[in-house]
Amino acid sequence: MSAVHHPGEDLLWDYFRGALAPGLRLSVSTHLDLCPNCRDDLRAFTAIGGAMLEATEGVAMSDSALDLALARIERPVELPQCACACTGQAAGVPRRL
Amino acid sequence: MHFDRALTIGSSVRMISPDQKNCAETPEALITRIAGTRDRAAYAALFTSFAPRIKAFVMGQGMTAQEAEDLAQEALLNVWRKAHMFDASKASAVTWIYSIARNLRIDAARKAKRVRELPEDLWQGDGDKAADEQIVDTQSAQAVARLLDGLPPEQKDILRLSFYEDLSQSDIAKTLSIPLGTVKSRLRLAMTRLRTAMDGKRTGVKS
Repeated sequence: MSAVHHPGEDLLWDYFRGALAPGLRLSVSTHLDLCPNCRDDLRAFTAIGGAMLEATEGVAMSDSALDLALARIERPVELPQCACACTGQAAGVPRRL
Repeated sequence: MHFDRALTIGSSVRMISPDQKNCAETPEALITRIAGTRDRAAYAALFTSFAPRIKAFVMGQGMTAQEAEDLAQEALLNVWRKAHMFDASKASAVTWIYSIARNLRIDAARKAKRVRELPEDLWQGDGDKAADEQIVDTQSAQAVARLLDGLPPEQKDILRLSFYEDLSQSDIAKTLSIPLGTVKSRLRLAMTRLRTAMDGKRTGVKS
């Protein structure tokens, strides 16, 4: 008989969606360190989430969303050295409208 | 109170069949191009494909349109910055992106809550096991989607309410007016089926 007490699926689910209070979250987290089986459950949750995102019909972003996104990646944030031709030029980026 | 199941379940998020999409380039290839050459055209294509879906997804979970728009922006920005960490052998692109968006949504919810009621240090440093590096899913999202499609309707309902509406299992039980034990057993059946398929396909798990 195993002495391990697994968190129930409802608890794992609440952990996965970030709904647990800190103490309980820590308990589940500690259990997960030791339990490949429960880690597999989390992995399955993630796979389901990915498949659901894949199948989701999008809601239109605002008109300026792509411009904003392209402007935001211009801001230097520890970007690695880049040897290609993308030196700060937004002009050549094709827009999908 | 009466719930019309047909109207209630998953009503806020519409689904499209996987066959409807015919991307010229896979998202995995786009992320690889971003990682390799900071390819801005690849980023634009990825953004156009995923930002609307992320927005829809988190709106279904209760975010306002503006919050959802901001989160979608933030998620894609993270994809740009973390593209070099993406490993196609471990996760499909959509699963990786889902995970990024999910973490951002949890962070946003905790931040809002923290301000109200909790000391900040309690929230830090306990290591979220569902974080990016934990994902090892060698199945394509399409394969998982097909698998989910094959589940009995009552199991699909549980998954939709779980993921799209972000409900706890007891809230799902209330919503469907069924016992909590039934919710648990349906989820268990769906998970068992999915895990069996995943285990069968797994090629390697890091220890």
